[in-house]
Amino acid sequence: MPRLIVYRLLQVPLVLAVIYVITFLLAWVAPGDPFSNDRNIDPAVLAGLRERYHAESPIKFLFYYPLELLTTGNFGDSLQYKEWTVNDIIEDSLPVSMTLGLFAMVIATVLGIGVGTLAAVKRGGFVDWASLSIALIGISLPSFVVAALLLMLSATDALRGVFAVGRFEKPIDLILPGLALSLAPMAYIARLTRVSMLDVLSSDFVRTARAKGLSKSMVVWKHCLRNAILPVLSYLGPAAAVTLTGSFVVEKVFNIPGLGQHFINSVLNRDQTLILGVVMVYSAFVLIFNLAVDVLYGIVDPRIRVGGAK
Amino acid sequence: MTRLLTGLLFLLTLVAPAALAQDGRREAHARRHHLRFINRGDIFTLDLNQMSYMQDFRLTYAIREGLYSPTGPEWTPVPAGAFGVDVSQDKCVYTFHLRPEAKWSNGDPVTAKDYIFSWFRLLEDPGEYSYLFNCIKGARAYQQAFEKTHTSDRKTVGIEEVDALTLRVTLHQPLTYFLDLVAFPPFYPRNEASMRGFIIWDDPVKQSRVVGYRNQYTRPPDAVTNGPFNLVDWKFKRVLKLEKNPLYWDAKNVKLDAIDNIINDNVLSQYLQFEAKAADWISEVPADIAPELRARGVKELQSCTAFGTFFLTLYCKPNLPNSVMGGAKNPMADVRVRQALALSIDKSFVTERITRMGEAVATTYIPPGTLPGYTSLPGLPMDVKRAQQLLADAGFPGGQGFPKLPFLYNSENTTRAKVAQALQQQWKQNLGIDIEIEAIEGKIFRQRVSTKQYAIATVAWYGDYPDVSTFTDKYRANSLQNDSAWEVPEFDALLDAAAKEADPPTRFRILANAEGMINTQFPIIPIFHYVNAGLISDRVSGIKINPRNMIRWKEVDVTE
Repeated sequence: MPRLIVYRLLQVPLVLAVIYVITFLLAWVAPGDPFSNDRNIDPAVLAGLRERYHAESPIKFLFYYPLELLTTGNFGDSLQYKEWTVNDIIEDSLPVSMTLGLFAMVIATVLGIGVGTLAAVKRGGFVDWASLSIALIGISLPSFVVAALLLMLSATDALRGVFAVGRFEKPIDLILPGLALSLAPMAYIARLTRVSMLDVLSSDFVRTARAKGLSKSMVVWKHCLRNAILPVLSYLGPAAAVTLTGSFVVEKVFNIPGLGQHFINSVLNRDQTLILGVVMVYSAFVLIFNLAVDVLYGIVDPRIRVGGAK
Repeated sequence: MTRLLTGLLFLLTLVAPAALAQDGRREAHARRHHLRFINRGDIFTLDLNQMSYMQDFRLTYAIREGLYSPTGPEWTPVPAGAFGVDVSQDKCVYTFHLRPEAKWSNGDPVTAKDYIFSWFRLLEDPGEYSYLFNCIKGARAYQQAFEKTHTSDRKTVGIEEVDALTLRVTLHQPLTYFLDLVAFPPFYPRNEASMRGFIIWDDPVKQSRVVGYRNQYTRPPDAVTNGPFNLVDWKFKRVLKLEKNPLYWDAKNVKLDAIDNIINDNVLSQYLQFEAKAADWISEVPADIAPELRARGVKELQSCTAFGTFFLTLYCKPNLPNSVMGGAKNPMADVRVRQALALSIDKSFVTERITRMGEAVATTYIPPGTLPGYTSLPGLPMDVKRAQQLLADAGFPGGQGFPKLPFLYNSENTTRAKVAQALQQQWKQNLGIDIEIEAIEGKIFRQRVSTKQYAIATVAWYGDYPDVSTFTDKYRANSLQNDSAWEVPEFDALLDAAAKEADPPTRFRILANAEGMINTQFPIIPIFHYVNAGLISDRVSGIKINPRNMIRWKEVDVTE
């Protein structure tokens, strides 16, 4: 296992470097100018801006920014929000998105697994039917609808004083957006858990466990869940990476200053330094979470030990 | 066990908000002399060199001050950083007398040197508005020389310090609106000492030449300003907090204690914030929601004609650009075709069915009534018969043989998509011609229009300073902003004549003739004049909607 972790960790910089170059190429190939404006800009002004931001040519850009990143750890200034460096923006918005995402993932995982397990155990019963309906709603209702409904709820007289409407000021303001964000993964996790739980419940060792006198809840929560949770774990890795780095829709509706909005806006603005910054952060998250999932797999199910561990 | 766990979690999500409710209630309570407003959008920059968006200017008026300040709906410049000016007989030399009591927020006095420093920044590190300095003697030549050699003789420029509190500016020729320019943020002073830590050197080791200043100099706590308010906190994408500047020379007449510039670009949550009294003013109500509020008769909604026009720009060169239909012959090079396209449009359909804010249908380029003393010559009204005749005269009877021209619009703007579809329909119906509408993403759209790779496109223009030339100069043959490639020597000659004319009424008459050429030869087809719509709570005084949405921050107050 430690060998696996070291080996995978060594891959990370290489993969990130490849992603950096590909993203850079895509950002430069796309038509449109980061410095363009509603008005036409004097070529002399444009030349000055390009010089200042080391963007006279793709080559110059690629020579300056990766070097800067490696030596100082800075992504450079944002080309759109000129008062802020990309690091400023990420440092400011990533914690917001992570808090929100973590909250959403905890709700989604705990409720999803709980409801999924119950539905499997009470197969065909009311809980099963209800969880199926909720899951269907969770998957098919787009988050902008849920988010908008919750936002309007927060502006009603009853809740007006509780949440800051359309603003993020204190942790409590994350509850409604967190709920909106958790609905889809929760539904997904519930369905995943139910299916694999049904599978496990009908296996021989469950009957044996029951036969030797263990209580039903003991069998379900201790023995079955451990096996049934594997598909959920492999879903959780990428899902956590997505959720923790922010959601464009939910952040937009609730006006939350998270990282999610920059995925879309930086591209629309051709803010090349910011595009690279957010893509690198997101990629790092995906890599790390995937690694974490692989490690967890081994812990949950000792039969699965990836990568030649002995 | 199971039930307990789920029950507990469920309870937790319900109870947690209520437990913290007390804190929230206190916060929702509106405060006296504290304005919370939602500005037009994100603040892009507060650097005077690079600034170009309305929201950035609006905030700058609160934290900085120039020699003069614009006031009232007519934008009249009144003495501010200067207490007066002497103008020479030939109206070319302006001697400004600075207010000795004017101070920077760090306590330094504001001197002529601060103005000179700031103005030369715009010549040496040019920005979008550097061209406004071209009226000053030697400024243009200095800027060009500096661009090449990075050194130049400042003595050749008509900007000089007579003494610490006297600034003399020499112009090429009289300019009736020079004081209006001086009241515009690119002409505001800057405190050099506070910016030294932000210099970008050509070479970090040798430090021989200043390339520019990092924009971070505008952020608190490093920002040093001279306006009625100080910027004390700037939370990216959240809020900019301003507090009354106790060192401001006219602090006794500043009514507000604090201003929050809330950043919120979501239409629904903006409105909900206003409804929940968490915002006192929305400076520009988005077009997605304004007509709805107007129809519902929301009493806080104020609107008036804006200093801007929505129009189509038509490419006028004899051949289309290479990227459009392979550079084929351009039918719109013929003025009759442009007139036919213009006269066959039912503009009231656009304003009554699409924009629905009571916009005035535009037959002129400049919004009527927005410039005191100026009257546009009447434009041409809708006339389908005449349009059909003109098109036939140009060789396309009944639209026959007319090429399928592309019609570009910016897909980020939902209104423009609807306008494009309506006009496509109208041209088909009234002239029998087919136009192909093409939605293009914002940045690419701008690139296509500014490099003139289009045939027809939807655009807009807002005036910068209160003078006709802010509109007419756009269509000079050599203007950077002349997207239509419309080059008419008579038009340029009229503008030159107006520039030399010192008598305002005569000058306006000449400019009206120039504008008349645009209104009848149609390098552009004006569709409607924009309407400014703002939501202003009745707790707020001193904010009244006006064409440029200009407010005088000193006069604003909030009561409760």
